[in-house]
Amino acid sequence: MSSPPDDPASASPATDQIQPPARGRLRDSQDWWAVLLGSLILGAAVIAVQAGQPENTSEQVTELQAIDSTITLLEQQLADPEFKADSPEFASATTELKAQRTARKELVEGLARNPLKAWLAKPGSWQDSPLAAFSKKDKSLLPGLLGAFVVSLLLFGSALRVMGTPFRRFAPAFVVVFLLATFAYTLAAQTVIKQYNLEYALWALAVGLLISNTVGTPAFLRPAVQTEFFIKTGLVILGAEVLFSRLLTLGLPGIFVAWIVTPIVLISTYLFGQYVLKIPSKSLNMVISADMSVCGVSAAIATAAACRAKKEELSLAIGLSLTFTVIMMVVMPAVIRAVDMNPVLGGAWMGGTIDSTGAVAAAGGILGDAALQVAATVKMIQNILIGVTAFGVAVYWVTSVDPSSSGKRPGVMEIWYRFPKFVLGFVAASIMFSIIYSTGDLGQATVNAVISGTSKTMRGWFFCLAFVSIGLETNFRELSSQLKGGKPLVLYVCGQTLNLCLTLLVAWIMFVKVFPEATRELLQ
Amino acid sequence: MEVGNCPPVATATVSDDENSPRSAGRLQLLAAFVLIATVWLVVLPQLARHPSVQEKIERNERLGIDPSATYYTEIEAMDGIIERMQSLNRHQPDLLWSTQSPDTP
Repeated sequence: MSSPPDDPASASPATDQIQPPARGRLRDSQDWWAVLLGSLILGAAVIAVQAGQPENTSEQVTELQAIDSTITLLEQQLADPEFKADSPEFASATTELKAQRTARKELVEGLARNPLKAWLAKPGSWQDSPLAAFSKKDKSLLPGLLGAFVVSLLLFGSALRVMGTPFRRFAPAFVVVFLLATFAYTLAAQTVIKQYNLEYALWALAVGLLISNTVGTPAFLRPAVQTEFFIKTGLVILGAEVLFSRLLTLGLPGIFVAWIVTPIVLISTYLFGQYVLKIPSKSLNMVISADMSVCGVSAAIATAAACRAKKEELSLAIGLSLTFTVIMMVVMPAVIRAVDMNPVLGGAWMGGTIDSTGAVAAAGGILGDAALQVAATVKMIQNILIGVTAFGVAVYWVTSVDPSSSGKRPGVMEIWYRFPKFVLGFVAASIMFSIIYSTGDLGQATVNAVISGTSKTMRGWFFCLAFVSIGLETNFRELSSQLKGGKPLVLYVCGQTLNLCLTLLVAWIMFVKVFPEATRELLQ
Repeated sequence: MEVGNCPPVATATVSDDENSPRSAGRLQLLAAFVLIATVWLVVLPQLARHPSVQEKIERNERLGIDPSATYYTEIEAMDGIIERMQSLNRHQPDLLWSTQSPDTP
């Protein structure tokens, strides 16, 4: 991966105090820059949302509270068993509830608007003509694409300039890398491709690989091939979307299926890879174990960055995950239907096992509303686990894996030097936005506006740029060498088998044996 | 991630000996782009019109599902789902937390 070369002259003389190696310091510096850039983007979004707030905010909050009271009253009425479902009063209360919910949604949206939303965009879906990807509801997305480009160019260009890459060398290279990322996004946005969860990461990687393995990556592009930097910054921004209050959404059954089974599967798969399959690369083992047990591409990115996996290892893990996701999102709903499984149980099973979030929702949608709701909620709770996983893996790596390869027990300072600092930014963003979210309606509206208008667009671009970069600096030989002996495939299949069995067992215990009332309620 | 070595990159000047593999590379790239254009501009649009695929696309659009979402915040339907779960927790706070059913004395 591209990083400025080591400078032996700058290495500190040997002293009693442990000094980080030059490469470590460069990495640290990039980590802190990632935290700074991520914070700048999130901070700017919060300020923009605050600035865009209407003057009568307090009146709107009061109005919102009144609507909430009406909704609660209507929900209580509708939940009353004596209230006949076929009565005209029931139909009228249902219509009123829908109207109140719509009014609430509009009021919340009006409470916090993100002015940056119009200026940051990515290509939309298209079916017949790729030109349709650059407009949405007859509105051009080009200003938004240009905005995302300018923001990325200025932020990364400035940071890299301080780290030693002249802006005049970075800018032309970045234009090309950004165009390649736009091309990859456009390929991924075709409706058929989207339906089968073939995410942008795959196409970004393919576009980069295509260039590097045919004509070769031109030397002038190298300053903008910044895989690690893009990923770390994207992860800090993703932190804003990791909201801990979501963890309790599905009560104890959700926690058991998503937060008890998942770590057990992750650790068991990793140990199986180490001691049974004896996979030579611990980081490859960890990335595959995490993307299979947690939530696919996003978990793979976070874990790979936390354990400093090689770029080919991340590519392989994502390839495996996407392949099995496509199979599972088609096969699992069919199996659940064939055995006439309770849709709530089926939804929990799919939510806990299918890697990708979008694929879980699509598979749940096939089985109906109850399955969709449970599947998507279980996956959402699993999504929150990314923060804990990344932090845990980073701590485990610096305290156990790195020292065992050097044979020395590290001191506190050495652990600090080795710790990937951007993970702290990721966790801090998650905690901060979780706190803002928990402050009430205004806080929730602010966080939602930041996420929908800025964070999900920008981290999407940064991850896409990272995968184009990986493709540009990888050759097929390196990639295929990772599959030698088929061990990664065996690891994935064995881990996923354990995941399928354990998730089904725990979901059955929770939703059928322990909480049958809740299951009945969810089915209504 | 690990700071590895970059694979060799193309240099600005190319010797005559290298011209042949270079032009082969250009041809491969051109062939790949032709293949991409054929698949994305001809095959996939045709496939999208197939009734079973069309049904799938329409269902996901109706439900507010983006099957290619990498994180829950990218799924439009999530707001409604969270709201429904919150409503369930508001009205029956013990439903998802207590193992005792409401009918149990």
